Parts: sequence; structure tokens; C-alpha cells
Amino acid sequence: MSPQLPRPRPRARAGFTLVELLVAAGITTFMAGFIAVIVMNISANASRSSSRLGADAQARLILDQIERDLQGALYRDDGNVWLAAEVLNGASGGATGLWQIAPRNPKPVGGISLALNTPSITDSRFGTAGVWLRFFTHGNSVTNAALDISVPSAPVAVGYQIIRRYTATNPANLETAYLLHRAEARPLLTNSRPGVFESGYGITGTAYTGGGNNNSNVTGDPRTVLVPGTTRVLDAVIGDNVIDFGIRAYARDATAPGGLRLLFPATAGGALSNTPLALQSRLPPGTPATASTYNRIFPDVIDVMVRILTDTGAEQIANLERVQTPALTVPQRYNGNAQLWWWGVAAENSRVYIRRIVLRGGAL
Amino acid sequence: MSRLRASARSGFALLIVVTLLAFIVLLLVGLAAYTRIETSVAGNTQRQAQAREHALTGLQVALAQLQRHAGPDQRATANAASFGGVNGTRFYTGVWGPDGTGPLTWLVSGNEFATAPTGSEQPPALAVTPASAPPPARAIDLVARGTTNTTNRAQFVSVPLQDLRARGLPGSPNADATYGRYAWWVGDEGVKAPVAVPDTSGTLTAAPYDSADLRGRVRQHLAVGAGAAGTNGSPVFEPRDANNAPLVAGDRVLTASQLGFLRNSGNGQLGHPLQRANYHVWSPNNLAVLADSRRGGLRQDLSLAPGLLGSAFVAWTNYPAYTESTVPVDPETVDPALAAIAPPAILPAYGSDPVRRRLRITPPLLGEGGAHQIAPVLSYFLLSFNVRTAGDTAAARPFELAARWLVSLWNPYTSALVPENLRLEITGLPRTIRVVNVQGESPVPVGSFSVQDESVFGSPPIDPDLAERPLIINLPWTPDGASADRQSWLPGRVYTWRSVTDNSQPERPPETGFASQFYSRTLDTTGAAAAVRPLPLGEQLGSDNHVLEVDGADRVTVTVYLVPRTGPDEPPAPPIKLATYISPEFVTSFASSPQAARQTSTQFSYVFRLAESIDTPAAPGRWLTTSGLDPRRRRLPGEAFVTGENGNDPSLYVNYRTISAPDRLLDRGEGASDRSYNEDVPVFELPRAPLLSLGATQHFRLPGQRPFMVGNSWGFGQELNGVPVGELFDRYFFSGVRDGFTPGVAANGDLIVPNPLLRTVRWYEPGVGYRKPTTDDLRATVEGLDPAGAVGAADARSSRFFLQAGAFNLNSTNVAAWAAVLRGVRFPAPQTFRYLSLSSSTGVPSGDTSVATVQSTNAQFLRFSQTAQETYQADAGRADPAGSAARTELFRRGMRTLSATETGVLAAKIVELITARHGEEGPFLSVGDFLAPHPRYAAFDAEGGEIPRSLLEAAIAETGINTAVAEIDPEAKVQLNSQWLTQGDVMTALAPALFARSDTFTIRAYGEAVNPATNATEGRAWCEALVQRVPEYFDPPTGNGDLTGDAAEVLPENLTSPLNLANGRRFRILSFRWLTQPDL
Repeated sequence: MSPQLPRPRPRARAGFTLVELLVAAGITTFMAGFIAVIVMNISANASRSSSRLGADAQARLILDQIERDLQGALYRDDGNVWLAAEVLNGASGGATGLWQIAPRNPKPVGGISLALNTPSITDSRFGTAGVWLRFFTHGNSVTNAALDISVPSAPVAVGYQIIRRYTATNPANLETAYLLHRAEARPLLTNSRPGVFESGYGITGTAYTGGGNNNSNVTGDPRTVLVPGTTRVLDAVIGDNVIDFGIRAYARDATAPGGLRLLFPATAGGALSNTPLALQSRLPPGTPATASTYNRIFPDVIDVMVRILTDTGAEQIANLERVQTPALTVPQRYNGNAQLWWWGVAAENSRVYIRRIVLRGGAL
Repeated sequence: MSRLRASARSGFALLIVVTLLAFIVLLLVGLAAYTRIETSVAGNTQRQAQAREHALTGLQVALAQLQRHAGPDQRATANAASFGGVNGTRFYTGVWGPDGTGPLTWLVSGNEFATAPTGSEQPPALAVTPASAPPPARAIDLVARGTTNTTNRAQFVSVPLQDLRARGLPGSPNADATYGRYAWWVGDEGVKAPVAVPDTSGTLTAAPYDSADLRGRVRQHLAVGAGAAGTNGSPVFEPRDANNAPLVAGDRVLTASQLGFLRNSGNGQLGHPLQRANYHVWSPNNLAVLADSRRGGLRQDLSLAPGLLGSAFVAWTNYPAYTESTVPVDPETVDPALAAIAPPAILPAYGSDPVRRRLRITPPLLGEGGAHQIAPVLSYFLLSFNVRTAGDTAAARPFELAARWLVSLWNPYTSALVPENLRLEITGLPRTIRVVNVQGESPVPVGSFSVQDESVFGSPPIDPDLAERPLIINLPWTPDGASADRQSWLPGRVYTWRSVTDNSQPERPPETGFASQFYSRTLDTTGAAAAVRPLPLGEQLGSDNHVLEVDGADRVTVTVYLVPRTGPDEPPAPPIKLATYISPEFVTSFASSPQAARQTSTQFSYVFRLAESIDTPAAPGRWLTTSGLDPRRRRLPGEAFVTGENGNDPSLYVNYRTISAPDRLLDRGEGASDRSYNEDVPVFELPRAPLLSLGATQHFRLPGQRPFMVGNSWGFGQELNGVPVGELFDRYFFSGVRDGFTPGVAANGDLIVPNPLLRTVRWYEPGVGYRKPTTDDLRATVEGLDPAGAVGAADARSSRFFLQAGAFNLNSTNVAAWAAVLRGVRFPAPQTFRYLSLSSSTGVPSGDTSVATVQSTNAQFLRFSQTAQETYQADAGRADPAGSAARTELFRRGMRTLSATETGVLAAKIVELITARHGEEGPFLSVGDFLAPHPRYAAFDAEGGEIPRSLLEAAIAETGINTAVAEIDPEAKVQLNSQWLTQGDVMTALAPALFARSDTFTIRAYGEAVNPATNATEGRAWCEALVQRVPEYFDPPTGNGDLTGDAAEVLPENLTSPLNLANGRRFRILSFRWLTQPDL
């Protein structure tokens, strides 16, 4: 009789018990759920951060450019207007003809869109299309492949303004966005088209606002300071989703609080106001500030504010302004006020960026 | 097999877990990478911002150093090129202090830490000098190919890097670590030629500039910006041509890069490469504070306060006082009662245009070292005597004395004079004439008399102090009504009078003098045209021979008086003395040759004439270059004259009638062909508009001196109202806002003053603030000013309201820049010269005037900056007689034109001499320093005598540019025809533009961010600023209780603010820009 081998355990014994499976499934489910939550949170945070970082990066780009331009702003005491700023608060933005009015729930005109007299510029709102800022500064040089300068750094006219306009060059694409433009007039004559050098330095003059040979169909024409490119030319855009752009301009004045006297947006008496005088700087820094000179003094310091929508905010504002079927109704919390709704969405999904810039050029 | 399956089943959970963990890890890695990118972007931005901050630090340090060293007035600046500069350092800017101490610093990074030794007056030891370039590892090029369009390092600027260090930085918490670096360089714009200065003279509209002609002449008065040229003097482009004029208008060219947008002669853009290649040569415009770099303080305005240089200077500059104020008179409209005193009708050529009005003859005025008068100059004198018996018969007749004369007077000015009746008072005539009958074997005295006897020719003297009785003759001006030649005393023209027959023989000579005939120089007929007086000698046979034994004075003195016009019912006004001319020395005792008593030939004559080129052929300029012999002198000594061709013995001039000497400059015939301008010799100019350049004061006379004292080396050492002539260019300026002129106001509030280079700047009015000056502000600077010139509360420093455009630092050693500056006066647009040209047959102008047009970009130096129009036409060679040696045309042109080649050669020589000077003595500290004679530049005459010269005079002489315009001897050292370029002529053009320092600078700064742990450079930034020194002090008075500030007009010795003592006048940043590396 041979010894009896131990019997192998039945196959069923090799599997998981129901309990084991249940426990494993439970643990897996719990872990998956836990991880999913984490991933979702991380993803949401990443999305928000990305959106915010995107806005930050865009703001940095915009403010760096404005800072560079304003630090190099030019002025001569020759009676011309060398820097101008005004609030564009019409339903169609400024005089560009490019502003595409939203078919539904447009950015409010006036009202809560115009809050220039807040204590802090952070809380200010600069009207429908923000501030149209234009001045003369040094343009960047342009080099060719051999790093030879093909266009020198020379005085140019620049204009900053927000325009809600088409975002694509394709005429079939009717998507719009709030775009911040920086139009730069070329420094010199090209063929028969004058540049800044030939047009002179009166930034409010007809060379920069009129038509004729200075029209806005050609990139770099002086009139692009007013109309930065035709309907579908977007090469002047330096930032999108910019829904507000404004400045506060100051002159140094030892007798003023903080050593700075407000020039813009201000009344003839120098007070913050929702109905400010347009800034048309033709007098040098240091000129006594009187009722007739406040808005004519070239500033020493300018605070710049931009409000930039996050990507989410941009989507929401776009949805808000898009034609919907059925039409969207104003949420209850806005008490049926579409203006509050627009700004509520904008405020929740945007960030405000401020930078104080010292203008370093002066005059005799 | 089943165990394996079982085992695989047992890893399922692990697999799930690992998979999930891997997913999580991937997610985290992804997020980390994203975050890292964002952090890196943010870090780069931060480091770039740090680099910009460090660059701004460099800029601020540079500005502070510039303010500290170059802010005070008493500073000079120059480039290192002539102070041992090498590649990379040639364009360092040095600053020198009062009396040439220094260099106080070289304005580059590294020298900001230099401090003077305690208690020492010595300049501090400088860490950086141009002798060697900084080591490349510790230096940065701030000017390189991008700026200069060349890889030649001779054009580069390399400056040392300065570390920014701190303790406690990450990576080195306990030691200093470098977290950044900066570097800076201050470039001197003033040593570059300002080649985009607009001509603003067209904006002048206020009287007297309501004349287009006068407005146009402004560009003759001074250099309105340089004309870009190469080192060979050839024009490169013309900022004032039709294409560029609108582009440079209103000082539109703000930066050097815009020069490339200007147009060449083919209306193509100059282009950026050309502009970059001339980076060290051209600047758009340089502005200068009108300050005295030698003594400190702002310059005073001689337009507002000419009395600062004395009463004579006031009179000289007060041109309205001696300018004919009338318009041509229409005889039909004149009140008959006034006809006699109304100015004579004049032909259209003169009088209708304010800038062509005639000037009035004016008596001399001496005061405070200056002199002013307008008078014709005696240029030829002949007085002959004939003792004879009356009636030209052999029979016995009484003796009589006949006198004949010829007198020529010369208008030495470039303007026509209002002709007046003149009177001559002649003394020094023979006291005793003994008449001796020599008909027989023995001489028989007949008798004697004195010409001065009241019964002969001795009239009551006009001058009450005169001890003898003079011969008085009248020189009436009698226009013939047809010839313009006789309507006005034309510029540079000589007119002659001769005696007329006067046999009336009353008891005494007429008190008002003997008559003369205008416009005649012929004494053709023996005995004719003589004034005859009876002699108390009894009768003699006319056939007997007689001799005259004459004793007289050694010199004849001729005093010229103006006979004032009076109305028909008014008593004659006393004559007004104009000038006295003393003859050369004559033989005092002589005897005439025997002559029959009846003969009408004159026996002796006094003949002399103004000495000129022909008289001293080896030194042709002597007549205008000898002290005390200025022809305009109130009392011109005998040394200024020469006797006639026969010497100084009057007896050798028997029956002398010769006046013609065709080789003389001042010999003018009166035939038909002699009515041409071609005979005229204008030498001096009188203002006929507000002066704009101190160089034009070269025409002002200093008593007892030679002509053209101001601006030329020979004027140094003299004083004018107590002011050394050599200091005039540093202490004064002309705004053109003279008494009676009201500046216009431009749309931007700027005052439009006649000096087109002045730019008004706002000034700080205490309690009010900055504002533009008004005419009242200008006038306030001279309110209460003593007319004699003493400065009280008013200081005439209107310079506090102005900056001078088109400025150029005369310490520049750039040949092309100097060539461009020398081309400051040029006529790229047609410049009209309306000159008077009379018909040689009728003496009447053909039409109104003749017009010559000059359109040339050659350098023009105007001796007659205000009046060249009237005398411009200058045909070589004299019309009558042909072949005359007299080069009168050299005097008329009124300006010297230098060709491009000549301009380049002159610029090169100037730079050569400046470079040598810099090496030996340092930079020039003032304009006066530059113009002063120095032994280094002296020339020597034939006898080895030293002829002092200045640098500029040496440069002119050594380039030989005057050789072709010599009157006689090309080797002559100095001649003064208007073609002979002098330092004074150069200064007429350039005086407003030249300074011994610069006030416009470019600062370039560099900053970099450094990782303190790795010492790696992680960010770079470059910036550039254009800075300008302005009249106001660093610490101006604010009027708000701040008592420490000083107003701009305060002199350095009176400054109260320590800040101002240390920092002088404020520098302001005019423009700022960030650069990219390719820009460098």
C-alpha cells in the first residue's frame, strides 16, 4: 500500500471568498472614489490656476508693454498734445467703427460700468470701452536675420484701447471678444504713406484721427492710433478678454496729499469724477495746476489698471452675450438687473491688475 | 499551473493599486512640471525686472555724476580721443574744473567712487581712465555695431561693470555675494555737429522783420545749425532744403535715429546705416545754457542792455537813430514851406525798403572804451598856391594869391549815407611867404604875407579853441536829379570836390568858407577854378621872375564839419565836427622855382592821401592792421596818410593837378564808366537791424586801436567799458530784443525773438510755478538798469529764459563735425542780393535794383552779415582803366565762400591744433580761451618779429585759404578785405554756437541680474536717456517758505544753497528708452 498523498485543495478554495471580493471591491471603489475626488479637485484647481496664471501672464505682458511705452513717453513743450486719454463710454465703444455690440446682455453703457471716482483704482470701472490712451514713445528696433537693424528705434505714436470685435480673420466666424489693442504708427515714411516723423507730434491732430493718406487700412498708418486695423486685421491686439482698461494720471506736487496731484480722470478742480475732462497733455510737468491746466499737464506718474477675464469668465460672458434659445433669464440673485448680472459674472471671473509707472522723459 | 493562475489572481489588487499609484504619480509629475514652467516663467520675468532695476540704478548713478561734475557753470567737457583714448575709451567724456584742473572725472562707471583726498584741492584719483580699455571680462560694450554700423572697435564704447553685492543672500548667507551688476556711460552730444536745426527766421513778423528781405538776412547773421559734411567737407545732406525743411521744422527730429529719415539730394532717405555710421558725428540739435564757463553765471543780453558795453556801443547799436526815417519825397506833395528841409528826392534804389535806407552822418561819440561815428573819410587832399600878379599880363599889377584844391572823401561803410553839406577847416598853412623878385642879378624882396591872415585866407575858426585862422572851404552836395550816383553817398564810394573860380576878392574871406564844386576832380586849366585873394605887396611887373620862400607848419590839418540843414527862416546852425585828419610831415621851409609873376601855374602844393595797400606792397594790410590808424578815427594821425608821388616838399608839386592813380583802391574817376559799383571799396559795416552775433561787433571801433578788434586776436588785451575784449563772447549774447522791438508769441506761448537759435524755457516764478517767459519778463531784467551800464538790481540776464540751440563744443576733435559746423552759414535756398548797379552811361539804376542770387551749400563767412546785399556784386578787375592792380572786388563781396575742400582742410587743421592743445594744456575753458592769441600759434614777420595768433587764425593761415584773395602780396600775414577770412568772420557766423562745454548728453546704462549662488547672469537690460542742462539751479527757489534756493541769474559766488554750490544747474531727462542688444 502506497502512502496516500495529501489531496489537493479543491479549486474553489483557490478563489476569493465573497467577503474578500466585497472588501477588495469596497477598497477599490473607495480608493477610486477618493482618487477621483482628488484628481477632480486637482484638475479644477489646475484649471483655475491655469486660467489665473494665463490671466496673470497676459496682464504681465500687457503691463510690461505699457510700462515700457510709458517710461519712454516723449514730450516737448511745443504746444502739441503729446499724451491723451479719454473714457470711451458710448454704446459702440469709441469712434473706431469696429465695436461689435453684443446681441444680448451687452456690457452696460454707463451706469455701473462707469465708476471712476472710487477711492482705489482697483475698484474703478472705466466705461464701456475703457480708456483710450495714446501718446508718443520710442518704438522698438526691428532686426533682420543678420541682426542688422532694419527699422531703428525711433519715436512712434501708440494707442491703447479695448474693442469688442471679431476674433477671427474668417468672415464666417462671428465670434467676438474684448480685445486690448496697442496700435503703433510706423516711425517713418513708407512709400507715399507718412509715418510719425512726417505727421508730427500732435496726437489729437488730424494726422492721427483723420483719413486720407493716413487711413487705417495699412498697418502702421498714423490713423491706426484711432482705428487699429480694419475689421478683420487683428495685428494690434496685445491681449484678449480684457474687459476694462483705465489709468489714473498724476503730476508731482509737493503740496498734494502723497506728493501727487490727480490729473485724470478728474474735473477741472482736480477731483475724481465720472465726468472727467479728457486728458490732453500739452503742458510740461511742473506747470501750476489750475482749472484751465489740469487736464493739459503732462503726467509724471500713471497708474494703469486692466481687468482680465479668466477663460471661464470669458466663456460665461460669451454665453451671456450670445443669442440663446430660449433666451436666458437674469438669475434671481441679480434681481432681474442685466447690468448687475453682466458685472456679477465679470467680477467673479476676472482679475484686476494694477501697476504704477513713472514717466521718465520730461521737458525743458 | 493552477498555482500560477492562483498567484496571478492574487496580484490583481496590487496591480490595481500600482496602476492607481502610477496614475497619481503621473498626475503629480505633470502638475509639478506645469508648475515648474510657470515658476520658471515667473522667475525669468523677475530676473528681467531685476536687470531693469539695475540698469536704472546705473542711469541714476550716471545722472548724479553728471550733475555733480558738469552741473556747475565753470566746467569744460571734452572727449577722450585727444587725451590718450584707445579703442573702447575714445568717447569717454571728461570734465575739467575752473582753471583747467582735472580731469575731475571721466563719466563712466567705476569713477563714481572716486573721492578727492581729504583736504586736497587735487582731483581725485580715478579708477577708470581712457588710457586703457577695461578688461573684456569685466566690461560691457555700450556702443557697438548696432549703434555705429561698424565692427571697428575704435568707434565702440566699453565701460567697466560694477558689482552689486549684499550679505545674506540665498546660497551665501554669511558672505558678500553678487546679485547684480551695472555699468554706465555719459556720451557728449555737444561735440557732435547739430545737423537738424530748423531755420525759424521765417516766423519773425514783428517790425523790423516785417520786411521779407530782413527776415531772409537773419540766416546771414549767424549759423542756423550745422550742415552735415564728411571729413573732406563735402555736404552729405541739407536739413534746410525743400525736402528736409518741413521735416526738421519745429525741432521735429527728437532722436539721432530719426536723422536717417531725412532726405539726401535725390530725395531718398539717408538710411539708418548712414546715420549709424555718423553716430559720433551728428546730433539732431544741441542746446546750451547761455552761461560763462570761465567765470560762471549766466550771460547778459546786449540787445536789452547795450549800455553794458558803454554809451558809444549804445549809439552804435541804436541803428534807428541814424537810419533815414523818411520815405522818398514826392515833390508834388511836399509843403512848399518845408521843401528846403525835406530830404532830397531819391531814386528807387535807396530808401523805400527799410533795409536799404540810407544812414545819417553822425558826429563822433566816445565813451567807455568805444567810439561811434558815421562820417566820410578824407582820402585825397590837394591844396595848391599861386602867388601872381593879377590879369596874366606883363604889365605891373598887384599881387594876388590863388588857391586851388581837390578834396576826396570816402564812404568806408557798406551802407549808403544821406549826403550832407560839409565844410573843411584847414590849418597848418604857410605862416610866412616871402615873395622875392629874382629878375635881376640880386634877389629883391618884394614882401611877405601869411596865408592865415584874415585878409588872405584866414577865416574865423569854427573850432573856438583853434589858435590860428584856418582856410575854410565848403563841400556842398548838389544832386543833379538824374544820377543815382549823386543822389546818395553810395557804399564804399569816393566823391571829389574841386575849387571853383572866385575872384570876388572882398575885404575878408567869407566866414562860411569858399565854395567848391561837387562831383569834379579836374583841374585841367592852369589857373582856373581858383579862389583868389589880394595880397598887400604892391604892384610888380608880370614879366619879372619871382620865387617864393615859404615857412610853414610841418603838417596840414583838415577838419571835416557837417553843416546842419536848417529851415529857410532859421539861422544857420553851427557846424558839427566830424573828424580831423593830419597830413604827413611836410618840409617846413622851402623855396619855389622862379616863375614869371604873371604865371598862373601854382608854385607849391600840399598833397597827401590815405595810405593803402599800394603804398606798402610788402604789407598790403597795413592800412587796416595798424594800431591807431583806423580810418574811422576821430583824429587820424599823419601816419595814416602818404604824401604825393614827389615826396614831402611842397615845392616839388608845381602846377600839380594829378589826382588819378588807377592802382589805388580809393582812386575813383568820375567818367561814365566810373559810376559802376566796381570802383567802390566798402570796409566797415554799420548795424541796420538788431545784432544777433557778437562776432558782428568786430565792426565796432575801439578808440586808438586798429579796426576789427572784437573777435580777432589783436583785440585781446583791450577793454570795452572795463570788460576785456577777450571775455565778450563768454559774458554776453544777443537776443535781438532791442529797445522798441516787441517779440511775437507763437501759438504754444514761445516768444519769437530775432535770434533764431534761442529756445524759450519755462522758468520757476516763486509762488506761481513754472511758466513761459513773456516780453515783460525780458524787459524786467533791465528795468532800472543804469544806461551807462552799471548793473544794479537788474542784471540783463534774460538768458535765464533761454537755451541756445545749435550749440557746439569747440573742444570737439571730430573733423567731420567741425566741417559741418563751419558750414553753418550757407544758402541751400536761393538767397537774393539786391545790389545797386548804376548805368555806366547815365548813372541811373537800371530798374530798381539788380539782383544776384546765391544758392550754394558751401560755407559762407560774412564780413558784412547785415548788409552784404548792398555791396555784393564784385566783378574781378576794374573797369577803368582795365588792368588796374586795385582789386576792389575783394572788398565788395562782403562774404567769403569756402569750397567743400577748403572747408574740410580747415576743419582738419583746426582739429589738429585742438588735439595738440589738449595734449599740452587740456581743453579750452572758454570761448575767449579759444580765440586768444598764444605763442604756440605765433607767426613771424620778415624781421623775425612775432605776430601773435590764435588757434583759429593759425589754422586759417596754415591752410592757405586766403592766398588767392590777397590784395597784392599773397605772403602778407593779414589783410582785411572782406574776402580775406579772419577769425572775426568765423565768429560772426559761429559766436552764438560755440561753447567750451556741452550741456546735452546721452546716458547709456546697463544692468544685469546675477544668481548669487552660481554667479550666473540671468537677466540683462539696457537703457538710454537724453539729458539736458537747463538754466535753473539744482535747487531753485520755490517761494513756499523755502529760503535755500537760488534763482537762475544768481552768480556762483552768491549762491546760498549748498546743493547749488555742489551741483550747479539742473540736468533734466528729456527722453528715455529701453534698448535691445541689437540697438547697441
